[in-house]
Amino acid sequence: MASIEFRGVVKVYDKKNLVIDDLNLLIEDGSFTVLVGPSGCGKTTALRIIAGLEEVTKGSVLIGDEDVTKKEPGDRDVAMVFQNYAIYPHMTVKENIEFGLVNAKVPKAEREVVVAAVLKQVGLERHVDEKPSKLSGGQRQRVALARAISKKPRVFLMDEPLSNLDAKLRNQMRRELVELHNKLKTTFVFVTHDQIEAMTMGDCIVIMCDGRIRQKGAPQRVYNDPDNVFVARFIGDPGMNVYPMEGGGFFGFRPRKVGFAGSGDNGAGVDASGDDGPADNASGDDAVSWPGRVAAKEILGSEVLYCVKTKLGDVMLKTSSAGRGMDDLATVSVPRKNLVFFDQNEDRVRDENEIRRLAGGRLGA
Amino acid sequence: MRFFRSHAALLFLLPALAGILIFIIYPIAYSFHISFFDWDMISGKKTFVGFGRYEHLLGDPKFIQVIVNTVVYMFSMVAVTVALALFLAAWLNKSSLVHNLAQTAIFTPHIVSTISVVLLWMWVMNPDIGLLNYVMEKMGVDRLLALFGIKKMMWLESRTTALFSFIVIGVWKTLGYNTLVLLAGMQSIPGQIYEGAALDKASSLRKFYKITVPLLSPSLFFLLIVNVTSSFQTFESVNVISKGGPLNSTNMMVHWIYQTGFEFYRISDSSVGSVLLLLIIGLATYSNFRLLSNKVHYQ
Repeated sequence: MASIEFRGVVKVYDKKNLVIDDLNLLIEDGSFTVLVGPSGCGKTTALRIIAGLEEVTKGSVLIGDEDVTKKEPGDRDVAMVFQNYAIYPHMTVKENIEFGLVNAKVPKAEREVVVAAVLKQVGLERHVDEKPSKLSGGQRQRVALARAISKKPRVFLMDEPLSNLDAKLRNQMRRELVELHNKLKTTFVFVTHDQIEAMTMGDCIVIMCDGRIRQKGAPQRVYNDPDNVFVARFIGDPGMNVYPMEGGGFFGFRPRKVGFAGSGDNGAGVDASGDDGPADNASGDDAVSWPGRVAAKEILGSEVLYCVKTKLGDVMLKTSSAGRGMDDLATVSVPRKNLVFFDQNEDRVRDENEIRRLAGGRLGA
Repeated sequence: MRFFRSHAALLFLLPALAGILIFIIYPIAYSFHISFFDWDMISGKKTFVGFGRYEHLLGDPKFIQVIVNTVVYMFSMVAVTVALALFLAAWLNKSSLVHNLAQTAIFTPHIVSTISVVLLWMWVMNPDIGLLNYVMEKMGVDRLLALFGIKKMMWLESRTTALFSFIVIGVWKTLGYNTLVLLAGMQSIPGQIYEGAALDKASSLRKFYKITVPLLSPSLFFLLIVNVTSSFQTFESVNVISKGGPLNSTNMMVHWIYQTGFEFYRISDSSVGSVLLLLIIGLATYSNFRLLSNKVHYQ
C-alpha cells in the first residue's frame, strides 16, 4: 500500500504535443481514485507514467515516499490491467499468472499457492490450464485481474479495463472491482472516459481536460458542487445545462433541478406539480422560466429525459412524469436557489453577495 | 438440368483440375512408371526391371554423395537463414533511418534474379581477382590462414570449400525474404503484451524467448517448410557455377536429375532420382508437421 504523488509532471510527445501540463496530484494511500476525462485529456498518459511505461519530460513521480521517476516498470511494485487485457495468448491461464512470479523469483511451492488463491478469488479455478482463446471477454478480463492481484502490488493501475465488456458484465465487474478494493485495501487508480464508471466506483474522482486537472474530490461533491463549467457539463447524465449570461459569465442547473411550469403547455392538462422531482412547484417569484417546445423525449424507465428547445438553447430536463409528447409547447422553470453561477473564465462563483446579485438579474437574454 | 445443378461445382473446378491433372499428377505418375523400367533413349527399348534402377543407384557412391550434399545444404540453409533472420528481424524491429536502410539492403538480394546473384558471387569468390580474397589479404587474414597451411582460399573451386561457398551464396539470397516475413510477424504482436511483460519484470532476453519467439511460431513454421522445400530444389546456382563439380562436391538432387536425364539421356535413372526427391521432401514436410505443429501457436 502506498500513496502516489505527481510533482510538477510535464509530458510532451515528439517535442511538440503537450499532453500533461504541470500535473500536481496526490493520490491517497488506499483510495480508489478514478482519473476521468474526454479522450486526449492525458488521463491514460498519467496512468502510464505511474506504471513507468512512459517517461516524464519534467517533474517527478513518487510511490510511497520513494521517487520512482527513473525506475523500470518491473521495479515499481505496481500492477496494471490493460484495456485489451494484454494477457499472453500462447500461455495457459496458470502460466499467464505465473510469468511475473517466475520473473520475480518466487519459489515454485509458493507460486502454486498464490496461483490457486487468486484463481479462486476471480472464480476461474476451472480454467487453470486453458488458453485465453478459449475464454470469453469477461474471463480474459479476470485473468488480467488475477495476474495483477498475484503480484500483491502496492498500487493497482487500470486503464479502461471495462470498456471492452458488454453493458451487463460491465455493471457486474464494476461491483466486483469495488468489492476487491474493499478487500485488498490497496491503492487503486482507475482510468475511464465514462463518468458513470467514475461516479459509481471511485471514492475520489480526478476530472482532467487538456492535460490539466479540472477538479478533484468525492463523487457527490464533484456532482453537487462543480468548480467550473467543464466539470459541470462532464459529470452527470446528462451534464448540467449551462448558458451564457448577458453581462458575461455563465449560469446553469442540473436536469433534475428543472421542471415544467403549470401553464403554457398545449392544454394536455398535465401539470408540473405532478412531478416528484426537486423541481416541484417550480413556479412563482422565486423561479425563472422559459417557454419552449419539446424536441426530444427519451424514456429511461423510471424517469423521462426531455430536450426542450427554448430561447436559452436546448434545456435537458429529467422528470418522473411522461406527460409531455414530442412538439408539445412547454415552459421550463427553475427555482432560483437551484441555479449555479460561473464567471467569464468559466470558474465557479462562490461569493454569496455576487451570487445574490447574479441570481436577481435577467437570465438568458 | 438436374445433373448440372448437382455437378456444377465440379464443372467450375474443371479447368483448374485439368491443369493439375495434366501438369502435376500425370508427370508424377509417369515418373514412377519410368523409374521401374530400363529405357534406352537411343534404341527406344524399354525393359521392366522393377526396383533394379533403385538398387543400382542407391549402391552408387556418387549418387549417395548427391543426396548427402543436398541434405547438408538444406540443413545448413534452413538453420542459418532462419536463425539469422530471427535476430536480424529483432534488431530491425524499430523505425529509424538506419534500420530502414538496413532493411532495404538485406531485402534487395531477394528481388535480384538468381543468375545475377550467382554471377556476382562468382566474381566475389574468384580466388585471383575476387573481392573476398582481396579484402582478406588487406585485413591480413591470409597470413592467419598460412599458419594452417592454406595458401589461398579457392572457394568455389576447391572440393572442401565449394559446398560451403554455395551455402554462403544461398544464405545471402534467402536472408532478406526470411527477415521480412519475421519482421512482419513481429510487428503484428501487440505492443501492450510487451508492456505487460515489462510490468511482469521480464528481462529483454526473456521477453524474446518467452513472448516474441512463441508468438512468431506461425511465421517460423512457414519459413521452415518453405526453406526446406526450396533448398531441396536448388538448381540454378549449381547449373551456372559448377555443374556439380569439383568432383561432384556441389551436385544436388534437382541438378543431378536434370543432368542425368537431359544431358546423359539416362531417363530411367533421372526418374528414380525424381521419385526419391519427392519422397524425401514429403518425408521432411510430414515430419515437420508431426514434430512441430503442436508447438505452433495460432492466434
